[in-house]
Amino acid sequence: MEDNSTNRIFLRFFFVYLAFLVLGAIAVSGIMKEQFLTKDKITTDDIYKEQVLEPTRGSILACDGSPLAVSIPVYELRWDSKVVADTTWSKGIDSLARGLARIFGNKSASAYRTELANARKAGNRYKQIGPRNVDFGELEMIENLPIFRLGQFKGGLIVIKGSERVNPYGTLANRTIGSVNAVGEGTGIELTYDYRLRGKKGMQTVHRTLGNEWIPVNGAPSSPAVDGDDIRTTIDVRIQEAAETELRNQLAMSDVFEGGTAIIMDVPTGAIRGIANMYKRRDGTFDEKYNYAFGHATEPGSTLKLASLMAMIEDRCITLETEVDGGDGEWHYGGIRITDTHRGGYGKMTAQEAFEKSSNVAFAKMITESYGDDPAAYISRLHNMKLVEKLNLDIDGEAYAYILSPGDAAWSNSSLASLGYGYALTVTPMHILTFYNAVANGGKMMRPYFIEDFERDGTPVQVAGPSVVSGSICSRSTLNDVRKALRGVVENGTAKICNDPRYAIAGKTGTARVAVNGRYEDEHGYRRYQASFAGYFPADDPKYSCIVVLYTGPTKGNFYGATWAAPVFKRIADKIYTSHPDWNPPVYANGMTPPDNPSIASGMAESEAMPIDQMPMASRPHVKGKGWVRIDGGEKGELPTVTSLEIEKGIVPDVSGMGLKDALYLLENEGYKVTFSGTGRVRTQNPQAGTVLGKGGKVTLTLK
Amino acid sequence: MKKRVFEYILGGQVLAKSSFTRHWRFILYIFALVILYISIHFGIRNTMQRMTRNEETLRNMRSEYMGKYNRLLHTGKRGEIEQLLERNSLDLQSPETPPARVRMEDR
Repeated sequence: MEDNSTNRIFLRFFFVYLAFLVLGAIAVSGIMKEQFLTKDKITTDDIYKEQVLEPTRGSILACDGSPLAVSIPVYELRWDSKVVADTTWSKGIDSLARGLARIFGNKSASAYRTELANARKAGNRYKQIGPRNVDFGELEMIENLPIFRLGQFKGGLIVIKGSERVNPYGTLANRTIGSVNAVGEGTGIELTYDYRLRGKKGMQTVHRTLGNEWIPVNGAPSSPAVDGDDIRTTIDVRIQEAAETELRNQLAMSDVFEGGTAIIMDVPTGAIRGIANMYKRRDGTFDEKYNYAFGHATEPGSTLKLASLMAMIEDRCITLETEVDGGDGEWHYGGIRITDTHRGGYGKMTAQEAFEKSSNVAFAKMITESYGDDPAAYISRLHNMKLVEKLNLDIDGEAYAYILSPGDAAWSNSSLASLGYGYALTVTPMHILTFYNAVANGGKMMRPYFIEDFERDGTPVQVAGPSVVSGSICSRSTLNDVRKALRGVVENGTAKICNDPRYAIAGKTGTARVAVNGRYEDEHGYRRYQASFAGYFPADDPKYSCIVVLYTGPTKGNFYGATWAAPVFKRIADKIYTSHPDWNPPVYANGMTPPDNPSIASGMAESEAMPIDQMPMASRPHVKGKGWVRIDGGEKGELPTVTSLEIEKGIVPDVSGMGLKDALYLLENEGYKVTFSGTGRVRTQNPQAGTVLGKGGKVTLTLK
Repeated sequence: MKKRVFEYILGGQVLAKSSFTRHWRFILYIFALVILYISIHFGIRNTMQRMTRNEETLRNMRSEYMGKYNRLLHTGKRGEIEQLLERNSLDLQSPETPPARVRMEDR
């Protein structure tokens, strides 16, 4: 009985076992079939794969850190119209069209409805949705619209993920930011610093999970992607926008213009705060296309008279008061006819008046009289002033500057005269601006630069920053003279349009004819002009320097720097002036007493020991370009007064208020023997300032 | 003989043998380890899947943030604001004097 029962149990178990065995055999045969007989075999590649990790391209930032160009994930939207059922279509199309019109905002709901209906009628299976790619926020909204919310297989919405380089400010600084394509061709910062922006690709092994997701294989060799560095530029968005807007508006005022450029530089550092390059497109509008600013070298015209004036004063050939005869506005020299714009000429005038009126005849006469015997000395002086120095800009594309020199095949009898008023040499607007900026910066020439630093996660990893081209392009007295002359151009000369009671501008206009195939005028009388204005502001304590250059096509009209370029400069300067809070001292609320300014010792104004610019003051006295100065006052936030000291031989100078180092330097250089007592600054001196005292005389100082 | 061994294993008599009863704690421990190993393995896989999804979410959120930030930057341009003022017939003029900082006492 028990045996029977056991056999029965065993028999049942045997059948169950047999059933499992058959199922197992089927499974094994299935695997064998998939592995050996099926063409689409499952290989390890279907389960494991090497995945390339794409790095995020670094951003290009403005000087305040706001993005000028940034890579973001975007989604391209397509629509398969055939998968949508008729009832779904008729119920949802109106709401869908309204939603698309709201999100994209480029056309009306009825226009979207018509567009989608036409696509459906045509059986379009890959219809583009919207005028652009969308970000994730917009994608979420679009995926929740009627019809589309049903997914790809019932609603037809196809989402393709990609990455896009976005310029949040649109075309602002487009030429400077530039672009780079897949094969490494491009322009601007994107091209020059592609090697830092693109980062480094990574690699990892991933395997597919049951949920069809790919996850990294634990322990497999991998290298993470390294994102590209961010680049913080010197561009100030507000200044850049002002430059582009004003330049574009001016160019649009005449059909003759082919393009133009405007550059704004920070005086103490040489940082480029704004750079606009406008080039006329086929439809007549202007866009950032061509690198006029530093890729286009031409003869500059009268803006170069500043260099001529500086050279002649520095070499003691003339002073601002030297008289020169402009005659009737026409002068023949070396086989060429030199003319002035003003019909009838300017007659006799001083060198400063010649500069203010921009007389070609006067400058040709002065330069030939000054250097006629030795033209090479003038060329050498221009080189010493670093006028045609290769700037080694931190963006590719710098054009070559060139001065015609004696010994060159093209040098002729007229070349020296031409050099005097801005011909016979080619420079870019950036070269001219760098030179004017040096004048504004007390003679110190700064290299123009676009890159402040390279950053990673907001922290600088490499600082670029300012660098000096020349510590001093001329002597202090020459500098004072040319600055006076530049201010005179705005107050009395060709750039009166820039005169403003709120803040002072100094600069020089320039009008040059552009040579085409060696000729300044073609056989039909057409000419090409280059109208320019270069200068800086505020004139007494320069913060920004700027150049504006406009280029015309062939014309029979006249296009002067004073009437076309100077107004653009003025409007850009106005926008900068009215948008920065640092021009005026702060306003103190009721009940607040302005703090005392730091007490500044008298002494040499531009010595390293008088870093007025570094002091925590609401407003600063202007000491640039001054020598020995006496500084008084500064209590309760008032501006300290600065008085220039006249140092005369044989007269005891006023050293009260100076530190011992300055007082000793000044007195001993005048030949006096100095004794002193106490510490601090000079309180009393014996003999008094202004006393006549011979060399070797004794001066006693009391410090407190 | 073969049939008896087969029966012996499949019938479960093998579990009643002394070697099994003697080592059942150890066998249980081995099973516990195997289960723990499998659990940890699946736990790791789930965590990695969550990480992958979170990274995707982060990328999407960055996309959304940058999209909105870029639109705001564009709208904040002086030119855009002036156009908006003009479109809405607001008679606001550009300033002619620079802004000034107002200093107030700390409270």
